[in-house]
Amino acid sequence: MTLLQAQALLPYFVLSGGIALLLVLVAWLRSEIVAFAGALLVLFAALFALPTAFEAGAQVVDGIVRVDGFALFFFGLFALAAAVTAILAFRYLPARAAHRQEFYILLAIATLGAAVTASAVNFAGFMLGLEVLSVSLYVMVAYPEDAKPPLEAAAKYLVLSGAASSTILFGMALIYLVTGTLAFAYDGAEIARNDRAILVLGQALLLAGVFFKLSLVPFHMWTPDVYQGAPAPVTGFVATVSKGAVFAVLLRYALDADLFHSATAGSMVVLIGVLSMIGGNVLALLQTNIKRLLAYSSIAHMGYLLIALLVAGAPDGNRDLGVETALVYLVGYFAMTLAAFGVVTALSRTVEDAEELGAYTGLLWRQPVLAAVLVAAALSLAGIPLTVGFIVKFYVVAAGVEGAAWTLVWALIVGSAIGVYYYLRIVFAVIKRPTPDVAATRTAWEGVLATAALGVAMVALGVHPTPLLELLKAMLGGG
Amino acid sequence: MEHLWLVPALPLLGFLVLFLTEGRLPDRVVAVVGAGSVGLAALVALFVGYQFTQSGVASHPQVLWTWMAVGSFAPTVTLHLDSLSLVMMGVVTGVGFLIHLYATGYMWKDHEEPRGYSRFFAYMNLFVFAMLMLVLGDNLLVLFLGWEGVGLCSYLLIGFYHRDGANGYAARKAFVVTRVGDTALALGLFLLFWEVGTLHIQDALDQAAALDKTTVTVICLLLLGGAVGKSAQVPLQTWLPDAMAGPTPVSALIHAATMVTAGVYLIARMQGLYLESADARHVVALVGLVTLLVSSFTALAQTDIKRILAYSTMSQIGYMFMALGVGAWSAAIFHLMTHAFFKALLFLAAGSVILAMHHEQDIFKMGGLRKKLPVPFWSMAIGSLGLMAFPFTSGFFSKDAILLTAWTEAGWLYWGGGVLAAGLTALYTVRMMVITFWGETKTEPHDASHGGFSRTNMWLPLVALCALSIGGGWFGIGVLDDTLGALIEVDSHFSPVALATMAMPILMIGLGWLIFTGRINVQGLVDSAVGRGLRRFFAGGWGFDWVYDRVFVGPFVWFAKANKGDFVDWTYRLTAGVVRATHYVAALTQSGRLRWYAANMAAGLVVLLLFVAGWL
Repeated sequence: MTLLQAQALLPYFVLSGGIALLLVLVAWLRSEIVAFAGALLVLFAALFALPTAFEAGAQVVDGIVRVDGFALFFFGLFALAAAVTAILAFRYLPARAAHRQEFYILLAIATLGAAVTASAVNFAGFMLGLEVLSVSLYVMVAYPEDAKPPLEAAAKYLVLSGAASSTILFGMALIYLVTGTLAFAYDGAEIARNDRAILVLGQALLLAGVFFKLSLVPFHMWTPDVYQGAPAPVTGFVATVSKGAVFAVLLRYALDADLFHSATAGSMVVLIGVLSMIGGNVLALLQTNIKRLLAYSSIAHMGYLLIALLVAGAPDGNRDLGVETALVYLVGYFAMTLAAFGVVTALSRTVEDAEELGAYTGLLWRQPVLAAVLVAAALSLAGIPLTVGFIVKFYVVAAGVEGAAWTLVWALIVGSAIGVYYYLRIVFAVIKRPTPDVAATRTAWEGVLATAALGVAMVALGVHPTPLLELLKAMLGGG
Repeated sequence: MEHLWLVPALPLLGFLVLFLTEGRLPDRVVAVVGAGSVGLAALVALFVGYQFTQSGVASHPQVLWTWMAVGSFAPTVTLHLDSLSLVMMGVVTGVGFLIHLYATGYMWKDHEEPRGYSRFFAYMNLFVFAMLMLVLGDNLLVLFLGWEGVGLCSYLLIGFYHRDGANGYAARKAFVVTRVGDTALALGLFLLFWEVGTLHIQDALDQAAALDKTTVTVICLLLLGGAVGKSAQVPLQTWLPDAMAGPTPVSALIHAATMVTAGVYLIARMQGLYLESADARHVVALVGLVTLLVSSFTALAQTDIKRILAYSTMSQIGYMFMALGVGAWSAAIFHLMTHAFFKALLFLAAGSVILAMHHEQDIFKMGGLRKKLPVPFWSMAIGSLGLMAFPFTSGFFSKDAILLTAWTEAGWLYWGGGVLAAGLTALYTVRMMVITFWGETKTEPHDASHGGFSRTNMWLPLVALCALSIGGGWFGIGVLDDTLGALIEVDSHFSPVALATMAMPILMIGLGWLIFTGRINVQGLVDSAVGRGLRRFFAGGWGFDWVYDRVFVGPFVWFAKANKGDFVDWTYRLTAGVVRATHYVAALTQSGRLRWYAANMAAGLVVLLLFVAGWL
């Protein structure tokens, strides 16, 4: 390992070293506050190491990971999301779990796994990162000790996600069989004609597993159950970091392996995309459980994101625009989703989560700040102008038009039109005059502050997205 | 010139302060914020204008904000200062400030509700902001937003006394009628954007010459539709007289000095397009001429002082349209400016009279107020001189420039119509003045002001506007030469045509004086069958409302009633029903059972592999 490689890996070292240190500390001190503050400290230390790593330029380490602007951008995004999750969980967990130190360590480990996944350039790195991430998530989902729903959700997630992982692994094996390399990139000219079928089969299996992790139709069924059963802050984390990591590695694989060189994969993505956009929105339509509603909504949003993938990867597509679109979209999606789950978390002080829409009726008159954030998140998810949701959706549509992905763009328009209905239902519920029988809820100020910050970010990025776009362009250009 | 952004920002700030405090500020603070923000904006505008004229550049763009840049789509909010927007900015902030100052006195203790004072100034400040964005915006989007913004404020302020349902009706009427024009405008803008592919006004105009002539004419006519609606020209003029339901300072600011002239600004701003279409220019001139004559005759038969002034405003804007149509671009803007001076003065003076008359607006119930209300009287007299284009007042220069250009460029028809209307203007103005201020006193005026504060604030703007009405024409507006082209030089002020143009108002003032003071008895003529009929016809505004009620409103209401179930909604209900049904079916798949999920996953995988196998 050269010095430059070490410099590039600095954030990963900081994060993993910090985790090791925390493990020792927690074993010794058994203090929740130490675990919490320590995890935050480690996350932020890793964040501060990012510029240094970026200066090292794009570095491939042992053919497993490539640390470049793309990977570091995701690292930063995941670390921020993890920090928000930690803050949200701090007041949320005490009512639900007696031992809470490990949660923060698991969170940091999951973040590390996600970061590795997003920087992988071969199957070993991919699988390693993905499993580190997934295994931590199973535990995090089941974290509350006595409640049944988290346990049920974790069991479902474990079984189905395990099946998906094995599908991915099988796909990788088939691909390896043909290409003879674990690296994403391979020399297509050397592959015999007869082997092509195996390669495509392997890629299809790999994609199927990845689509499961992204909860795209028809592999979406686990999503609402897991979202609903998992503790609200963990749901936010699953919805954002886990999906972001998988999408990042999918994007990278698609580009490195020239996945859309054959029309098969492309038409598969179009099919899945249309199904997800329409299916997700239709399923969300009359949903009254806000966690399930957001689950269905995330199915649709992952569908929208496929447009960016297709534009970036298609042979005649615009690679830079596609990648930029995907990253911008994910930033917006992270902000909106975390904000929404942040509100749910902040309102869930008792053992039961505030899940039913009825609990949000007249929220504006009880919790104006949280209500404003939730309204902003709903409008943003619906893609109303002056929120970040509009900017990112506009980006996707612009990229889709540029890449002539007409089917997907039409599906997006139809899906968004359906979506407005249920997002507005949230808004209407929130601004309704309150019914007197709803007891005032007490909320933790840290959670309110974190969600409020996300709310401000959503609107600020919607009104003035230029700084974000410039940062992104700089990072991608440098990578 | 880098302070340009402050000009719209200050009124916006004023609006935000008043809006966000929700009327909790004491009225005196409201007055300071409301009028002060516009006053400061006027000072900055003056400063910026000075710098601009000294700098000698033709235009000065200032980028305020780039929303986002995705591909070739990069909407920006940019202010564009050139001589045209400079003049408009000056009028909006300068006259706007004087009217705001007057309003601090006029609206003092006037409001029928506790927070009315604050609400009034919040709307007024918002209006000034929107109007400034309209005249300063460098692209069609900003222009359109400003255009809609002033429309909204106009609606809010016409219906300001919202407890009376009639005022709400007037506000809705203004909104709906101008909306007809706005629709045309929007279509015109879309078509223009479609053709040139840019929202930037200057770029669009630069490409105008390369466009198909028919297309340009269509665009110009659609834009004219918007202008006609906003500026209350025939055939969309019917809202303006009803808009007088708003407080009088509103009538002065929005429905005389600024917003209603936005149509004139729009056409002047789009000069590059109109230069490419002689047909469109002809229509513009014709609209102006028809409005001019229709509204002048109508004004002659009105009894409500504000309605007289409203019809007079329509006719004066008719002059501006005619000027644009015949190619007197600078003269149109010149008249816009002088008109803002004298018409604001007339309205504000009329407002003082109305206050003193306990909100009585019928001139036949006034009379003999000359001695009792000296300040309003002299203000109105001076404003009237400007309106009548009495030689060497401000209106004289601008109206003369229009009429003489009409003579040289468009021939006797437009000149003749214009001069006839000038005569009528003199006639109805003298009528209004004589009936209001001479003769016997029918209602005893009272001191309507609430102490010195209120009186001074109302008195000062009148004096300032008097000065502008008399002297405003001497400014000339050579500054416009860069943007719109110079005023057309008239050979001699002593040619027969020029003399006739100048003499017409003076003759009619004399005639009017003799008639309305009763020295010439025309009672027989007025009471004849023809006279009575004409009088009714004019008083009703040529029956436009009557016709529109029967041709548009009636059938529409009938149709709405007949279509209570709304067949168009069926489409939406059907769609919604289908989506709902799909939702119920799809929701059935979410059983919560792990083995069902796993089975589905496997099935999905199989389908996917079959799909792939199909491709192989």
